Amino acid sequence: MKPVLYDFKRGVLRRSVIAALAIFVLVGVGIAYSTAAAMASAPSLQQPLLYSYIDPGSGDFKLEALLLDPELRPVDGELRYKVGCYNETKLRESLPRGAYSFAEYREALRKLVRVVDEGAARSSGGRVSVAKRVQDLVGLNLTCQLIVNVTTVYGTLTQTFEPLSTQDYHPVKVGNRTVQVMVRVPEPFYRTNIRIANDTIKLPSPLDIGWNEVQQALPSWRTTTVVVGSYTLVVGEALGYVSLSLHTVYTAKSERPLLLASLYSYEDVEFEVYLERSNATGVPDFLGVSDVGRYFERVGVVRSGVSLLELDVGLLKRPGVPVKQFLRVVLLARSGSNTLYAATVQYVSVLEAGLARRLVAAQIASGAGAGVFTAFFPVVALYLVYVYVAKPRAQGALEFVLARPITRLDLYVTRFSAGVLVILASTALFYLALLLSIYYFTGVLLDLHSIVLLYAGMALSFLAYYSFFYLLSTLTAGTTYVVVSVVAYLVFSVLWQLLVALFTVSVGGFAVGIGEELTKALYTSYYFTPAGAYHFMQYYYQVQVGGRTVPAVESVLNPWLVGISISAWIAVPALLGWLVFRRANLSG
Amino acid sequence: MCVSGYSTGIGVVVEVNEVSKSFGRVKALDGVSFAVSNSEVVGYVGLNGAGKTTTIRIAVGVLPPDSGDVLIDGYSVTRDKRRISKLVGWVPELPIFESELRALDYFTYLAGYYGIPAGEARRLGRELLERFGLGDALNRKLSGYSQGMRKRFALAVSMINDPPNFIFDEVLNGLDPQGIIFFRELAVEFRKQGKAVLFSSHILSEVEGIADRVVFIHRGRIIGVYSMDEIRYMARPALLITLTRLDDGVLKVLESYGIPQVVDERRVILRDPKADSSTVISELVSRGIGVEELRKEEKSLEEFFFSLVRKAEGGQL
Repeated sequence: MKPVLYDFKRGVLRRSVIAALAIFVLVGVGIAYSTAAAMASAPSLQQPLLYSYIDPGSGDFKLEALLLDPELRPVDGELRYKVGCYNETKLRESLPRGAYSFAEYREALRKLVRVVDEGAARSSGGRVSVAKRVQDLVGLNLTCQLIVNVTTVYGTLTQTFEPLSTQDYHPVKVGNRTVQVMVRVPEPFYRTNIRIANDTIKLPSPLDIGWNEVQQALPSWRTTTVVVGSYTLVVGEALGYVSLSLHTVYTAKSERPLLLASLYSYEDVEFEVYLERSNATGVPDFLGVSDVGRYFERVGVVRSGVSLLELDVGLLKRPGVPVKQFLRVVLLARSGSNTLYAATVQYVSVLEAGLARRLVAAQIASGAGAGVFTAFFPVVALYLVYVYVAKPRAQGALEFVLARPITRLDLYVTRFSAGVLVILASTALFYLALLLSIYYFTGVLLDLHSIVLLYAGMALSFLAYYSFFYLLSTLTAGTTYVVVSVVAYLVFSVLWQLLVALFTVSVGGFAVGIGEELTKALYTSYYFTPAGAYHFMQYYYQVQVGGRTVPAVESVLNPWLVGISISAWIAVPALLGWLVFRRANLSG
Repeated sequence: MCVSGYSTGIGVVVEVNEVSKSFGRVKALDGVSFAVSNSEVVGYVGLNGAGKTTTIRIAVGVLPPDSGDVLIDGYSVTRDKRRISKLVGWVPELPIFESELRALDYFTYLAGYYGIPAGEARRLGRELLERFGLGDALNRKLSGYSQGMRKRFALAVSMINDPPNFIFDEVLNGLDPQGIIFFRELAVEFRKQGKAVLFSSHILSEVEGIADRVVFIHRGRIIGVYSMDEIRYMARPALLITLTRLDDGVLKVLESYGIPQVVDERRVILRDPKADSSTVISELVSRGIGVEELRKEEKSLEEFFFSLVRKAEGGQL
């Protein structure tokens, strides 16, 4: 085995180094966990797909959900729900005669609502499904309220679905049976009824955008006293409801169009989904069922419950812009001899991909992220130099090694290289643990450029520290080395920003724009510290993942000087150290 | 005596040439020159601090000289360090290792510098360590080794490539009698194998019986190079006689009893006396020569060594 590899091996396999590495790996996992926890406890950036069904006749309660990340990908999490019901008659009686406010209505409702069921469920593949029979739901003239709390790594969201909101259970009366149905997809969503087609279907006009056509079964007393949104009342036609939304998630290099659907049909049949072609012109308002294929593209099938349809690229968006601002969607299904249909006009929502990645990336590079590692890892570099040079030199053990067929330069370079390998490997180990844990907890994997930038920042910074400590080990030995290098570590890693701030304030005072001056001074000072490589790369990394530059930093940041500074911090101490080492007495 | 310090033998393999070294203001070596030949054991004797270890550290390439050079088999220690380290084995007085490592692991690590693969190095390590009595301590940490074990370990390491030259630096210090015998016999064995051995000590008698020649160093200078025969001859017994008169007639009488050497006008040393002191006194008195004092001088090897030191400091031999 080559001595450098042996030195590397014994550097890594030291109990103290193994312990440090284990701690750093755990720190990496911990950082990933705390990153995920911080994100999960923040308000969610994405609504789930929801579908709920209550049959007051049998007491059947069904709840389906598809949890989504900010880029509309299924993500796992926990869903808690609470179903409350109240008696319509009692509610009417508790309200004042004549006009009353919405607040009065809500208060009366709140007093009457009785929780009939609650629970929690973990998702699998983002899907949650709850189906049970609740005896308390059995009864006539009941209206229900659903409160849903969804927690994923991307945050927590609580939604209340209650009467008089646009998110309500709506009745579907089929024969002598009336069920309460709630269908909900992330905004911008459009709901419509499912009807029976009489050979032709009525297509909504693009002018109908923003209208949610939902059969209203509100009692007449309520419609006369409360203004309820802008619903189109179509009595007696609905055989179910569907809520749809169209999205395209894009990056500079790709796009991912998709359609989200939540549907209830009185009969659980498969609906074919048709999307208006981008080049379709002259689409009539009334379209024969058999002509749908002339103007519409079949994009998939859905049935009662929640669905996510990945669409073909190009259906919704050309580079940069949606193909049409509004697209019509038609759902068709056969039910016996009848054709069921629903038709909506949809606004195409354009989402920029990378939000989740940016959130995670910012956390990784923060002081609570990789900053923890960069603050403490120089101690490992310090210790490695102690093990490789300072201690054996103080003991006189290097002479026995030097008596082998090597030159002093070989010995100097071998031990330096072994330390470099340990640093690169252990930094990679920590970083890998961090990234994989982040991926495990959040599903986010950074792009290669960002990964390389942050790794390079950490590794180069530690190499600069290592080189500097190596120089110190040639000038001192044993305990003296430890004292001197610990002081150097404290100055560069712990006190540096404070010293720079004190200096800046003492020179410029507390003037307007002190923050900007401090930033400039800090980044200027980073040219003169071994930690500079990390700070510079961290900045470039944040620009890479966030896409925004900081003018104060840009004004003092020169890529050439950054390169020279980093190279100098690594090479110069090592070279100066060699000049001392080549003539040094190694007898201890 | 070989004043230049060079062996008269054929095949000089370790050649120390005008080596000087200072540590700060202290001049540790001042133009030191001597040589060791094949099949020769050369003792390197001097008081503590005389410069023996400094010379040896320079000779094995772990300390750069200020001036001068050491040639091993013709290769310069300052220019061909890698090569000379393959040609010379070194056992220091107090071998210091990175002692947190286990013996066989450290052996394997050091063998790596000779380009020996790990597997072969471990096999060789087991073989050599067992050969030198460390077979039951192969996997013991070096910090747990006694001084004798450390020297044996250093010897095993220096035998990695079985070099043709060996340097033992005060190797007998701190050893038990068994260890002393081991290293003395080893030096003799090496000589038989045709190796050149430099064997340093601060006790001349330690190298008696194994050294062919002895190089004496004092205060960084070579003060003499003698073969063991010369040393024994000069260290033989003598009578210091103080007479009432000293002339050629008296010297003639004394010549029949040994080798007279005049010290001053009334004192003479009778070296290698062939009779006891009373016989010599009776003979002198019978011839009318007054004997004021007769002192028997029996010089040991160490006394000889100290007499060299005294001479080097300006005194009499």
